[in-house]
Amino acid sequence: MSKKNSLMRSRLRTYPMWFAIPLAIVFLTLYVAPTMTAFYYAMQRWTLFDTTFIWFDNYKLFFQDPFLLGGVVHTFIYAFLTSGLKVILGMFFGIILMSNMRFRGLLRNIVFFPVLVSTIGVGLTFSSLMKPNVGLLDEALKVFGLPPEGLLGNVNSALYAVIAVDVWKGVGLATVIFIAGMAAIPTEYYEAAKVDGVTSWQNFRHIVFPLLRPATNTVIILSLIGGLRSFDLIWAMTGGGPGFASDVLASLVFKKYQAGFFGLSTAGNVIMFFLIIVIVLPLQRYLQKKERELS
Amino acid sequence: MKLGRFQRGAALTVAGASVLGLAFGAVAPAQAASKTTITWLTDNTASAVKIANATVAAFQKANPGIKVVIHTRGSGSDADNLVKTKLATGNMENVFNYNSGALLQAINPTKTLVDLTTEKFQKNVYDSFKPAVSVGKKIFGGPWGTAMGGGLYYNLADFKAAGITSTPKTWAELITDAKKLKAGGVDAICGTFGDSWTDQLFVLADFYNVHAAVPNFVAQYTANKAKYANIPAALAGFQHLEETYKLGLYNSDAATAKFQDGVDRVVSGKCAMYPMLTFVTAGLTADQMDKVGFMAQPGTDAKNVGLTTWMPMAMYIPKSTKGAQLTAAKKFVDFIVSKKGTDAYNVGQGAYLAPFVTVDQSPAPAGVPQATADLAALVKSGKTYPALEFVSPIKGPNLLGITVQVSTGQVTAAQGAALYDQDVVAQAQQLGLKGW
Repeated sequence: MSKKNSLMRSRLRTYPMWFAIPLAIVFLTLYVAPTMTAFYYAMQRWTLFDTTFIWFDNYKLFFQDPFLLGGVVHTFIYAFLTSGLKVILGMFFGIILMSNMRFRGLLRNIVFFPVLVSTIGVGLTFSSLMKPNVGLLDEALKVFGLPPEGLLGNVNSALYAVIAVDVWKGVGLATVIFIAGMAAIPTEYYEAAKVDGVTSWQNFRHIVFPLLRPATNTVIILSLIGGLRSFDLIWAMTGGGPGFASDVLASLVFKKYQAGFFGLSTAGNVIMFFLIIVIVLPLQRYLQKKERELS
Repeated sequence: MKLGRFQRGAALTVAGASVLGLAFGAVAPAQAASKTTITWLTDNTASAVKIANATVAAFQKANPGIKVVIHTRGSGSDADNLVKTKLATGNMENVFNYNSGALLQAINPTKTLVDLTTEKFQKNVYDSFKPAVSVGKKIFGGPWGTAMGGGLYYNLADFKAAGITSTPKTWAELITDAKKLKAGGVDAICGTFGDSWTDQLFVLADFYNVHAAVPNFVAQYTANKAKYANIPAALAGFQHLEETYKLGLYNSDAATAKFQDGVDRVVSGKCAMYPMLTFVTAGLTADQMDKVGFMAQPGTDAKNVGLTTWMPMAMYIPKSTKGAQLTAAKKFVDFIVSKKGTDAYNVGQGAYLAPFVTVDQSPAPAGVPQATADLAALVKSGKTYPALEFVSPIKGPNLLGITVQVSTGQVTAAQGAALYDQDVVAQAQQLGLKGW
């Protein structure tokens, strides 16, 4: 009797397995199978005409790449800086755009607009704006003592110039997530706080900021993953240059693919895959734990 | 294809009929069907298409039984991958033109291409070209296009204004002249590292000098015994990049300027010298051509100033071409390597711009532009040697980035050379060379 009961209950709780089959087929053929073949090809010296099985030589060669260390460092700088700036600026814009102000709707649209534009288009536009001697942005910054080789031509500033553009383009999405997060905060909290006579800083520090935690976590995770595998904007603006001064992991891998080292570049992709997992998974765990402690 | 007597008669009749058909402005389908049609994959730039059209027109006039249909492709790394994919899947056109030298080695010629060693046209090809399209003793291509030189374009007016009467004969003289030019208020050397491939010239175009100093460099290099970092003559190219940077001889926006900026500036005189390959001449207008000259990159020996040459592309026939189409494709390549073929090429590009690598060709007419005359004189002097990538299968994919690092002061010449030595390892292993 009790057995029958539990069976019935489990039948009620879960859908039959075959409901999942269509999705499983799509997932297996379009996601799992290519990933598995990537692990296979990463162990091949592959020229499109024939393949030689070489165990882990591709990985060895990839780790010996003299530009790898620079690429990893640039990737981290890029990912953490864009992610951090998007959180700070996104929250800032979110708070401003939640307040009662004129043209609020218009301003929200303007902040979100760059998200809609193609990344390559943004990259090409900004590289013309930053072009030495003719670009508007470059000419304007010369007043503040910008060296003649320009933002993108200077080895020390090229990566940061691209980061600034990435933030400009991505901050709109972060803002929208924060606005949504703030809209979900019940007004009772503010009313109660008002009765207690809190300052606006206390209001932010003890009500808005903690209750925005889920939104903040979403922005951190999304922009960090985006930053770690970022490629298109960098490729459009600097091609990884000057030299290798703004090369990140993804552009290093792409260059290897371009050169026809298909096995080697696949190995690079596998490494990038694990690197992102190793960073993002524990971070997500940690952030979720904090979130739970709060609720 | 061997034609029997009957078939040959039929072919002649058809050929006659098709001429008649053309005269009346209509070709019946039956006649079109007996023609052999071959496809040709070539570059899609406007100038390349013009040349291809002129060549096909001349060929079809000489061979009415064959029709050539042109297909086009992009260039650069995308083209490399397209060509490889087409060959690997057996979908390549009947005949195609593609790079000679190191890039050819990467498409695995022995497996994918028809052996053209014994074709008659080979006796019309300069011997210096053959190694660039060979694997072992087998030759897989016939030249398509003209030889190029790697060196420096220079602005004639700037040189005159600085009181420089003859082009420098050694690198030291070049630096002295560059300082004079800079003092005169122009950018001495144009750097266009925004298109990073342009920054490789000082290293690649120095190979005549490397070969002159170390005659067995190629064999040693391919066998993983000679390195850029530890042979002074080879290291010199990297040192040129470092020295010109340290002396401030480049334009201030060198790190982001592009190839076209370089061409425009050396023509206008804003830059006095631009290290480049001679294909630039073909893209200039007649007035622009009159403003520049061309010189080989000098080395240490004033008595031995020679030119590093870039071999033209070549025509190849993939193994997937068979039967009547194979015969027609061979005829087409044979035509391209003949005097008629090179004349058609010149018609297509609108001028005589550079010497071909075929023995049988029309001589340069009088009054050619200065840069072309300079190039022709260098080729005629016999002091030429192919760039390393045409005599060794090894070329690292990151040379362009590394040269930019050196010429923007991020690493020293010695470090740059060592980085490049490391960079070629993947290529050598990919090709399965011995000793790597």
